[in-house]
Amino acid sequence: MLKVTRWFIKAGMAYLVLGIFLFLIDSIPVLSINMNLLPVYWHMIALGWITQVIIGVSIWMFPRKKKDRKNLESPVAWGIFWTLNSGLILRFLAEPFPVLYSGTLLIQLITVLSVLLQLTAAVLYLIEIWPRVKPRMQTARG
Amino acid sequence: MPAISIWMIRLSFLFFLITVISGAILLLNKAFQFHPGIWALLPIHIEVAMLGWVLQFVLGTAYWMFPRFLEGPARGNIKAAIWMVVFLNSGILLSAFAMGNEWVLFTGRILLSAGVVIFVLIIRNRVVSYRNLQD
Repeated sequence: MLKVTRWFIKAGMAYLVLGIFLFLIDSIPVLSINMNLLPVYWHMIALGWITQVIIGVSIWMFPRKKKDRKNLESPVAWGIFWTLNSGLILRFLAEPFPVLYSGTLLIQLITVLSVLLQLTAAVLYLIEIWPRVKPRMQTARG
Repeated sequence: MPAISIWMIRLSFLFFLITVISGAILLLNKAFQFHPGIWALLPIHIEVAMLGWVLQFVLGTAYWMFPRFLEGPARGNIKAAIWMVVFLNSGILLSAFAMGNEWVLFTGRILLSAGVVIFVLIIRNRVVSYRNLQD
């Protein structure tokens, strides 16, 4: 399994555990207070876990662009990992708080940065994987 | 990779892009509160994310990767597979963009369900192991 794939999957597992834990916290009224945790744990599970595992495994398993193994661990793949996860971490730091601190500049800046990083990750993933969704014969020709 | 899977996976990527863009707008709206009407994107975002992106990617990859038949068409009836793709995607689009119209939503869900049922019918006999066939 590629190193970048292992990082995607392990990070995904961490988000799964955190997401389920927050899901538990949200069910305890005294602990959840006034924060809206639902979008946080939903995105931890759907984006942090499911999507990240899909990305990691598809980068590993889909037909290669070239026969050279080195190209499988492309800088783009690592770029996806770091932009996605840094965007997610910023998102989870900011997302519970707009309800409490509406209009706060710091929350807004963190949110904008998070959005830009996540969008970058999505575009990088499409750039990386789209050419690799192809029939077998195209792979054989390189 | 078979053509059916190529179609499904590429379509799932387009739905992924719609998911991310709609999600970005929603998240920015949460921080800046541009307009309350933007929240109408939320059901679209959820539907497209879960069904258009995740479900379709998984089904398309399973159709590609599961053990193939030893006789006849390698992955089963191709016409059924085409209908699966058509029903799945038309169902997703109708149910995601129903805009509160219950009949459009219902029709979309029916089509989506039909697509999923066809998938199960064409894939169920590929859930096999070909090891120890000579035993």
